[in-house]
Amino acid sequence: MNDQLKQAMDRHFSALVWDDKRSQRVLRQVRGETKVKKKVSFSLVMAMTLILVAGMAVAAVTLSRSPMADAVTQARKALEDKYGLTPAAMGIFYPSETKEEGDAWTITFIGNGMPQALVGNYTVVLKKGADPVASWSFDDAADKALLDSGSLESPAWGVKQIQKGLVDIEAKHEAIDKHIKANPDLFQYENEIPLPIPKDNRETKEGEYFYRGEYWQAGTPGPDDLPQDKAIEIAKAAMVEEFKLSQADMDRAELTDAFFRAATPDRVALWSIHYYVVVDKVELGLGVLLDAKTGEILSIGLTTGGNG
Amino acid sequence: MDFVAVPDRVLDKEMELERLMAHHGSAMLRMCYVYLKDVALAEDAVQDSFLKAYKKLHTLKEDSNEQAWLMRIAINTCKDYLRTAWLKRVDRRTGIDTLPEASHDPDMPDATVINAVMALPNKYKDVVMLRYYQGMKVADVAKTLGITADAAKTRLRRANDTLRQKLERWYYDE
Repeated sequence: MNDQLKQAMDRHFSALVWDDKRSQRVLRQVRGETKVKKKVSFSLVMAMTLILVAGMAVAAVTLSRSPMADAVTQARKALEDKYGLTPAAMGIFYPSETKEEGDAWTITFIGNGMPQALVGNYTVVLKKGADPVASWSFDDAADKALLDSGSLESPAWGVKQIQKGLVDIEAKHEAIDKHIKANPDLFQYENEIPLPIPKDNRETKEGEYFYRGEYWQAGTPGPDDLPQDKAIEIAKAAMVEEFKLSQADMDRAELTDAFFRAATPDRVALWSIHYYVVVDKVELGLGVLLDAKTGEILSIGLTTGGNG
Repeated sequence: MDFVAVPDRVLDKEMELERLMAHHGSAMLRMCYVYLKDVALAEDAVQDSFLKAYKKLHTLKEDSNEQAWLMRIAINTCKDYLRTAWLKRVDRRTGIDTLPEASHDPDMPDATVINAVMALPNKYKDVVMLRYYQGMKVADVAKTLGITADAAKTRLRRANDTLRQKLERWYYDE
């Protein structure tokens, strides 16, 4: 198997070569040659003024959320209030939403960007007319002092450990290695986000996207749909509000995707807007799904922890 | 013309990065493609991996396994890309038949085995790629992935079981 897989891959992928041109591109980046030089000048002052004006424009956008998106937003707030979880720390979890009887929601934030055995899961139960009830799988952690100290030696990683791990990647890896050595059984299986599996397993065609187990064709907004710039405006305002980003953060952010899906008889038209930005040395991947007709926010997501 | 003196240690670091790219770049690119199933994304992931490696070069000790070190960075980068892809809930996969034309016999059934590996869950793909493509020892695979050697062996066994079922007699022997 060993040689055969290697031979098959080398043969089949013989055209996939990391050539000198690509190496030179990386070297230019490490030398900073491909970065734009900034000057403190009148133009910078003007640019800052424009940023402030843009910020005021974004702040003026009225946001409306679907019941599910609203539940996730409330749950995030509850975790911030009770556990002090920052948006960056929450970015290593992904929310799994369950609608209960009546208007009740249970949102479970599943640890994914760091070992679940260390960061655990958070659950928030939301009932109409009652305060949110937030809990953590390590609420009964034996050594509270160690947890509160922020030490990566703690067998439970709260917000302090997560923040530390997001910034100091080497320390994070070292600490995880130690924990694995001490308790190998806890780390037998890494937690994974279940990726949607297509019903008909085929290759995507030109302009086609794979979304929640189905193939979608990218479309063009009609006269009744939000244009791209409006969708982006709403998405940015939602990201700023949900994750407490500054306007300067959003101004630095790079638009990585703006996908439109046209309406079908049983589905609404949709905008999917994505940004990438580094804030306080942490890489943030931000995404917003919008109803393309009403502008209602269907979901807002954030992933962190990808710095190595 | 003014020349700016560049410290030797900076040049050394760049030369070291250049060497790593020349030595491991193509294997990393192919591995990232197996994870991401998209040539452009794989190129980006390898580029990001080398940029991260450059920043962390001081942590690479002389006696350490540079291949394992680089693969760990590359795998983490690919997984980060996949997490972002999940957030996007969009998959831009392209098939291996859409790759630039390879210089091999088109009748060779390579795609069968490669597709079977690409279809494995990530935790099995990790061990298969590192053990069988990168040729690492099980201990190094375990270290690269931050799991125990026993866990790596278990995953390899399960990956082999899955591949055996999928590949039947294609290429399979032990």
